[in-house]
Amino acid sequence: MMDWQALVISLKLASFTCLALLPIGLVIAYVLARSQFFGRGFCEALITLPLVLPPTVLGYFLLVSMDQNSFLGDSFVSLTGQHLAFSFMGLWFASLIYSLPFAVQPMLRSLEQIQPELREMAWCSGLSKWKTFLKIELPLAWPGIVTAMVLTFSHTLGEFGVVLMIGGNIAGETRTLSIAIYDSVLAFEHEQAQMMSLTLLAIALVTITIVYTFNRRHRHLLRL
Amino acid sequence: MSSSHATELRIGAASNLRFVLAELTQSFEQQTGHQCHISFAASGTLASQILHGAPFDIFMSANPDYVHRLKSRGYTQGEASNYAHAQLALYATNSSKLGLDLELNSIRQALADGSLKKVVIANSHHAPYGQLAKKLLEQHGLWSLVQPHLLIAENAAQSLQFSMSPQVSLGFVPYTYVIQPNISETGRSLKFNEQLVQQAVIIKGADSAAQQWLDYLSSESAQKLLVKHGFLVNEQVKP
Repeated sequence: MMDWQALVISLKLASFTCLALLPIGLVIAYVLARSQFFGRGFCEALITLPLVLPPTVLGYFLLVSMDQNSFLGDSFVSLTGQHLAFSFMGLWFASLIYSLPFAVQPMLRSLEQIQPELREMAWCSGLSKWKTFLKIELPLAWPGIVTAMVLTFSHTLGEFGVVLMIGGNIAGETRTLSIAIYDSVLAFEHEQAQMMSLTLLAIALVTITIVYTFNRRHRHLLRL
Repeated sequence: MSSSHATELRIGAASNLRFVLAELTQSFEQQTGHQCHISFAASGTLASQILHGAPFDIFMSANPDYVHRLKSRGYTQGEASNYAHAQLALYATNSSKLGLDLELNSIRQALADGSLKKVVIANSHHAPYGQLAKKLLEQHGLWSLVQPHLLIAENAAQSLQFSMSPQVSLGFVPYTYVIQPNISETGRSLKFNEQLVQQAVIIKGADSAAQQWLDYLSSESAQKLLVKHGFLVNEQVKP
């Protein structure tokens, strides 16, 4: 038997994370790609950090920072009246940090690959900076953006360590599919674990196939 | 039971309650119309989650220490209910050649002749079953000797899962697990006399229906289910 509720939570978490990281990631990637400033390397390192940190380290810091006695946890309570720790909102916040490098890196790389001459030509033709971004850079960076979104989605879907530490395995709130799999293995419900694992496997395979197919097509289009 | 309003109860429950709670909540839900959402973890893990703000209505601990810890910091309301006692068991899969005895002599022998494979306990930092297993091994002077053989499970449920592996000689697991029909046939088991007091307590700010759950736990029908799953209920426990 499939834990549909957990699947819904997982899909909701992954979609919400994508929705938020599309604008956030794009702005960060654009700033990093187009400007030189002191501490740029440090900023990029900071964004990539969740990629190399053990989930337990990230989970620990998040747990402590979302505690109701902490600044972040306390401000969230006074703003919304709800607790951030062990809630869906808390998971969402954690996923934004956890998946940030997966959103920023592909967008950054594709923006960096655009030749400066192209932008200069656009400016000489009278396009504003904003129009240049919209008409020239965005279409060229499109594969990077799609890759970023798909990676963010599938990475959030597969998140386990951080969710285990800050989620608390609460049904309908923080029990994601990967947590439900862990739970059903402990409950000796191997059929259920197998079913849910196969579902996650299928989703991961399909999304990554989409990325590769899409990117290959895009490259062909550009060559023509 | 009062049928004022149907609500959702969030229960943070010790891992050893995994099988019995499925039946308990089902009958409670039928009686009251409330819905129970259970999160299983080691008692210590749950207590720490509650200290960090986890929104549980009820905490069901496999020992009174963690309840006491929450109570002393003002995280609970009312008195905790001692609704049952649980016991620890030794478990060996059918493929393990180790004999089982309460004095743990078979472990000592296997250590001496080098035939001891892994020994599973739950994590003694935050799992009451792990703490009891550690205490027993210490009492028999085996704690330091078995160190190289120890396999530490995250909670009581995982300790049984690990114990089923062919690399494991024996495991210290909840007695309630080894009497489950599909588990009892996978190996042999032996019950210790030591008891773990099972406590349930209401977390501050919980829904008023939480008291109904506590009342239900000491009701006759709940106590019958607990006995069926290998727990000792209050009238069976000698003072």
